[in-house]
Parts: sequence; structure tokens; C-alpha cells
Amino acid sequence: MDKAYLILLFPLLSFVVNGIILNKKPKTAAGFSILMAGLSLLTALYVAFDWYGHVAGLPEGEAQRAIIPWSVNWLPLAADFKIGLSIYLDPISVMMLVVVTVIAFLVNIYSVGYMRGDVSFSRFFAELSLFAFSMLGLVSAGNLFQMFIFWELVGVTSYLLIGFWYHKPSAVAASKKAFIITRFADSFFLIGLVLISYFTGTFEFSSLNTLETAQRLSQPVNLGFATFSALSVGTLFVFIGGMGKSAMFPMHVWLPDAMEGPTPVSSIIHSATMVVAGVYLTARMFPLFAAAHCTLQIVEVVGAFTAIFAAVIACTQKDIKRILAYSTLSQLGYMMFSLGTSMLADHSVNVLGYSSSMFHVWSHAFFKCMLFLGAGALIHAVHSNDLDDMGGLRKKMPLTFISMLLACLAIAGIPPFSGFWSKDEILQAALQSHSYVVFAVGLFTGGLTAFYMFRLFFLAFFGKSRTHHDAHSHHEIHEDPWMTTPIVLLTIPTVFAGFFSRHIFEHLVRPPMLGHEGELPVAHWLPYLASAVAVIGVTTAFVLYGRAKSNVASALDTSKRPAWYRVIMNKFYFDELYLWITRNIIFNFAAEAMKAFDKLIDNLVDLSASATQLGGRATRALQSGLLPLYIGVTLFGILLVRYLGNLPL
Amino acid sequence: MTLGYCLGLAFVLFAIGAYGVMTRRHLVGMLISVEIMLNAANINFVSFSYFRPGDATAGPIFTAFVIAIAACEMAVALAIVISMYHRHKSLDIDSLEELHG
Amino acid sequence: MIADIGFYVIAAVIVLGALWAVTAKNILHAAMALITSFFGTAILYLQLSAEFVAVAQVLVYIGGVVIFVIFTILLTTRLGDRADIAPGMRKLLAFALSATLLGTFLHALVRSGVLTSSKQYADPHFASIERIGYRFLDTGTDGMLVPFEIISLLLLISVVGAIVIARKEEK
Repeated sequence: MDKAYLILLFPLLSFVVNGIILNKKPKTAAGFSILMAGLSLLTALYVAFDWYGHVAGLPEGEAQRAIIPWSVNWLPLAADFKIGLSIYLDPISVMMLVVVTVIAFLVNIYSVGYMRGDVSFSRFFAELSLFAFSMLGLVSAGNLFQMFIFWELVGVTSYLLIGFWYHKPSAVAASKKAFIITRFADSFFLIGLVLISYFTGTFEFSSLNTLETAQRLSQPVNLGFATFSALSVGTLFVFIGGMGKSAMFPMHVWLPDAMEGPTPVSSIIHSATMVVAGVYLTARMFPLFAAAHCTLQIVEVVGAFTAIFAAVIACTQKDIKRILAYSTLSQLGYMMFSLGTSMLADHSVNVLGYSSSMFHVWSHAFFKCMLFLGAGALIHAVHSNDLDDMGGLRKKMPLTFISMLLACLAIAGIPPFSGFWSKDEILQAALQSHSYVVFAVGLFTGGLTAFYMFRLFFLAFFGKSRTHHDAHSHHEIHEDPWMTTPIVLLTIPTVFAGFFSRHIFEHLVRPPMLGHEGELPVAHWLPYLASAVAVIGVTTAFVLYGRAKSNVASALDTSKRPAWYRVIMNKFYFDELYLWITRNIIFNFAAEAMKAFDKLIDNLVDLSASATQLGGRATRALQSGLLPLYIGVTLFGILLVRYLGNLPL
Repeated sequence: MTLGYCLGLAFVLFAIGAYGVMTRRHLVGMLISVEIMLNAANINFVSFSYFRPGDATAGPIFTAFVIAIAACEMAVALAIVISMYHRHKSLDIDSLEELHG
Repeated sequence: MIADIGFYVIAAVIVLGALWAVTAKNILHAAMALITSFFGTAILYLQLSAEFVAVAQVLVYIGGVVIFVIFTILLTTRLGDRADIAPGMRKLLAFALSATLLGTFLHALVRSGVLTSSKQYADPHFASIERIGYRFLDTGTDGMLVPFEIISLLLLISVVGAIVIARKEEK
């Protein structure tokens, strides 16, 4: 376990080597990257087993205590304030290490097939490895500061990868949008971070997540015009940072646009790993969040709203990557509100909320990644993202067909696939915490999820083929083995991850708690209800899109839809709203201020220039060439020295 | 005749010489004023050597040096004056502004 | 007392000569006044028992330097030329500066108390020519041999330099 830092070093090495050296040899670049990802994966698995062996026998409460196998005192800034770097191993970080390395490894393999023939093949692998390094650093960070560093790094690599095809203006715009929005949220994160560390004098998670810290932070601070408790404001701001990265409403607009990047990017970053960073942060800071009065409630509301909001929009989209993006948004909402339901009214902790959220992170990563990879295979085959151009693909791409079917079943929450278990526990937690509205939202959204996923499934794989064969007649639709293998490999966790890991999650993945655990009833009828809702969703989709006599053409024709449909299809016009705000308010204000500032700077520069000229002209008079003047000035200087200096006289 | 009076004389001469250097327009006139100042310094040396104990011969010796160096300096300076007269045909200091910056 | 009157007379000669030298409109008159002033200085040196310096003053300064100045004047100025003194503003400034300078010196003088201290201290032959001569050729730590030789070198250089500078350039 003490070599855990190797997990991060392998992808970093891959980035350096690929970025600098192997730019000209694509095959070696890919091979090296895959090798490093594989080594990283093996190390992660080894560390995970080692850790598990370490904690398996420990009593509850002890097992959640973090193990720090490696740390270094990086910035000893003051006697009582230092910033270190460390690897932090606790249940959720070990889980995330495994998830990230597995997915990174599979995506590396997949990319060989997907990015074949691309001009910047090696650059892709370099950036992908850099992302892996950053994400691994984020999840294994032992203090807030280190996490922030990697947080920003992840944002940068996301920017690089979304804008990978930088010749496309839409890709560039999307990458900028993503970066700017997450950066905006990160400014709140930074403020929250500074606030918390100022009042507690430390960044380390092991010191922050304690009762003393929570008490110290909740002292009210009087600013004259307002009083606040550092705990509330700090955690709230940190959460806003998480909101940006996890694309919670209202900062969700960057995620659909981020689909401009290549599909492997979407699968690793914007479905399985980076976007869960916000959820991960909330989970990591859980004790402080729980101790603050209203932060967790805000988490809950934001998460639930995002879940249903995104699901509604997903039902109307035709670009399969966009559908999957909104689906990710929705599932992230689930994870968030599940964390939010972990606090009961009497301040006891509902452990199920926490562990089910993490469980959903785990299972969602696998099936969402597979969904994206499968979508990528479809896109690669028909050279288009649009459902308009797909149809009847089940005969041409059988392996993809079966894998996607399993993934869709998983995400819809049909037992016994993985999604069912995690979603069920989330709903259970909501019910236990008496958050009935959230529970209803979650249930309804589950149905919607099933509906839109199978809408995608049926429209893509069934029915008459709508692909344009004539244009690419030389290129038959086929399945690329490099792409299909990871997809097939992912079916294993998709199917089995839920069933087999749920015990581990229930018992091991528990939050570090400041309060006590509540005694909570378990509703045994809930799984049946949830499955029923899911089945209803699937059936509706089947009826509308899957049957032989479904009117698919009219289903896909969006020109004659009613107004409410069009509003939803246009994502409730939030993009337009933000653009309007940016253009009219921010740019106008900023433009005026910038103009005034520019003028000020110009004037200052001119002033210095004319001052120098003036000085020069004045001094030039002294060099008149008139000897008497020189002598006079010399004498004057002597007198000056006498009277103004301190000559002894 | 005390040391003070002699020094006072030397100071007065020095001030007169300074006034002359700044005022005179003719180049040779300026040189004459410089001579007056040097002379004042010499008086200073000699009066100190007369009125104060210590190194008795140093006064006259240094004065002799000053006189010798003043002679050299005047030689070169007057040579310059002559050559400037050849070039400009005038020795008015106000029109010899070649060092004007 | 007699010595004092002598001193005052000689001082007056020196100062008046200098004043006339700096304010004379005719440059030749200025040179003449300078000669007067230097003669007065020589007599003052005699009063201060510095015979060697007095003789050197007359021989070198008056007989060499001022004669050279007169030669230059005669060579470069038409005798009737009037050397204008400077414009009023410059005169005022110059006067102010030199007056301040003088004032500073005299203030220091008065403060240092030498005005009332006593007269000469030692025997009149303390700085005899013999001893000066010995010192000039002395090679010990207090000796002035090296500067003596360097002065001779300097004289040579200045002679050569003066000739080079004053020579008419060959066309």
C-alpha cells in the first residue's frame, strides 16, 4: 500500500513520454499508454486488495478511518500551518481508484479503434493519460489544497480533450464553455477553501472532518454588515464548486456541449469520472456538510431538481450523445440528492444515503461508460451522431446490440442488473429520511430514465435502417474489435457489479460521522415499486418506438411538435438565457470598465513619457556648452554640499 | 598678522577669482581669474606653514609644486586659446559653444 | 605693529590688483593688474619667511606665466578690442555665488578661532632653502624626489603638448 503513489505515476509517465517523444509514432504511443494504464490498474487493484485485507476485520467506525501510506510536507508555511501532499486511502477513495483505473484502461484500448486514422492520434493518448493522472490525484488527495490542484488539472485536461478537434469551431466553443463555467464555480470553491482553512488552520481531511473543527467553524463571524458561520458559508461555497464540476443546475449547460469531444473522452470524463468529482467532494467533506445547518438540504434540492430536469429534456433529444449527456446529468442528480438525504431532522445520520450514493457512482461509472462506448461504436459505424441516421443496426452490430441492451437495462433499473440495486437504495434512503417529495421525484425520474434510454435503444437498433448507405458504400457497417472488446468487457460489471458489491458498500462505505446513526426502517415494498415503474417506462418506449408497426418516422420528425415540446427540446432555452446575460450584462459592464481602465493606463504611460521628455529638456539646459555656467554650477554644487550635507564645519 | 588674517586674505582672493571666472567673457580673462584662485591657494599653503608647527618644509614645497603645475597648465591652456583663435577668430566665450548638448 | 601695517598694505595691493584684473575691460590691463597682484603676493611671502616661494613666484609666475599670457593676448587680440564683461544677470548670479562662498569661508574662519591665535612659532630659518633642497632630493618616506622628477616630466609633456596644440594644421 505504501507504493500507492505509483498508481498516479504510471499515467503521468505516459503523458510525458507520449507528449514529448512519441508524437510521431502512433502505434507505440497507444501501446505505451495502454501499458501504463494497465500497470496503473494492476497497482490499484493490488492496493485495493491490500487495503481491504487491512480493514476487513476492523470494527465499524475503525474501517472508515483513513490510511495515509505516503505523505510529504510540501509547503511548511508557518509553524502551525503547512500544506502537504499525501495519498489518502479510505473506502471511497479506494473505490474511485479502482473505477478510474479500470475505465481508463478500457477507454485506452477503445480509443485505438475509435481514433484510428486521426491526425493527432498520439496527442489524444497523451492528454488521456494526463487526465487519468489528474483524476487519480483528485480522488486520492489527502487535503483540500491538493484536491484543488488536481481539480483544476482535471478541468484543464477536460478543456483540452473537449476541444481536441480544435479545427472545429463548435468544439472550441464547447471547450471554452466548459472551462469557463467550471472555472466560475471553482472560484467559489477557492473562496470556500480559503474560508475553511483560515478558520481551522489546516487543509487536511483527517483534521477537517472532526467534531472540533465543526465546532470551531460554526462560531458566528461578524463582518459588520452580516454575520455568518464559516461552516455554512464555507461548505456552501465548496459545494458550489462541486456543482460546477458535476454540472448541477444551473451550471449544467456545459455538459451537453461537451459532447463535441471524441466519444472516448465523453465516456471517461463526462460520464464516469470527472463529473462525479463534485459528488466525491461532497462525500469527502461529508461531516462538515452534515454539521452545517442547511448545506445538505441545498444539496438535496439541487440534486433532485437536476435529476428530473435533465431527464425531461433527454426525452426529446435526437443526438444520441446528447441523450446520454442528459442521462448522466440526471444520474448525477441522483447521487447528489442521495448524499443530501443522509441527514435526518434530528441530526442523526442516515448512512444509507451516503453509501447508496457511492454505490451509484460505482455502478453508474461502468454502465454509463459502456453506453458511451457503445454509442461511439454506433457513431463510428454510421458517421453521424443523430438518431435520424440510425436504425436497424442490431443485425449489423450484434455484440454492440447485446451489450447496449444490458446497459440500458441496468440504467433503467431493472433487476438484477447493477443499476437496480443502487437506485433502489437511493430511493430507500430518501424514504427513510422522510424526504417524500424527493422520493417522488426520484421515482418518477426513474421511469423517465427507463423511457428515454429505451427510446434511444429502439430507435437505434430496431426498425428499418435509415443509414445512408450510398454515401459510404465502400464502408460497410461493421464492428471494430478494438472498440467492441472493451464494451463487452464492461458488460461484466454492468451485470454483476450491483449484486456482488452491495454488501461491501453497505458495510464498508460509510461516512465518517460526527453524530450518531439513526435507526431506520426498511421498506420492503420499494424494490417492487421501483421495478414496476421502470418496466412501465420500458414498455412505453417499446410501444412508441419498438414495435414493427411503430410510427418511427413521425416519432423522429420534430418539425410539427407542440410548443411545450419545443421548449423542452430546446433545453428550456437556458443556453440562450446565459448567452444573453453574458452579452448584454457582463460584456457591457466589463467593456465599459475595461475601456476606462485602458484609458487610465494609456494616460499613465503617456505621462511617464512626457515626464521623461520634460526632465530631459530641463537637464539639457545644463549642457549648454557655456563654460561660465559650468563653473557656476560647480560652485553652486559645492555650496549645496556645504549647506545641505553634513560637512563638519 | 595672524593666521586668520592671512587665511581671510586667501579666501577673499579665491572669491574674487571665482567671480571673475564666471563673469569674464574673454577666454584669457577667465584664465587670469583662474590664476588668481591658484594664487589664493598658494597663500593658504604658505601661511599655514608659517603659523603652524609640524612639517615645516612641506608648505613651500607644495607651493612650488603648485606653481610649476600652474605653469604647465597655462602653457597648454594658452596653446588651446591660440588654436581656438585660429579656428574661430574670436575668443568670446559665449560664442564658443561647441560642447552644447 | 609695523609688520601689521605692512601686512595690511600688501593685502590691499593684492586684493585691489585682483579686483582690477577681473573687472578690467581691456584684457591687457587685466594682465597688468595681475602682475601687480602677484608682486604683492611675493612680498607677502617674504613677510611669511618663505623666500624660496617668493622668488619662485616672481620668476615663474610673473616672469613666465603672465608674460606668456601677455604674449597670447598680443597674438590673438587686436589691441583696441574691448572685452565685454558678462550681461547683468550673470554678473548678479556670479556675485551672489561668490559672495556666498566667501561668506561660508569667513564664517568657518571666525568659528575656528584662528583670527586671534598667536603669530609665528618657530625660528625664521625653519624652512630654509637648504632644507627645502634636501627635501626635494630625499629618497626616504618623507622625501619629495619622485614628485620632483614627475614634475619635470610634466613640464616636458606640457611643452610638447602646447606646441602640438598651438601648431597651425597643415592643409
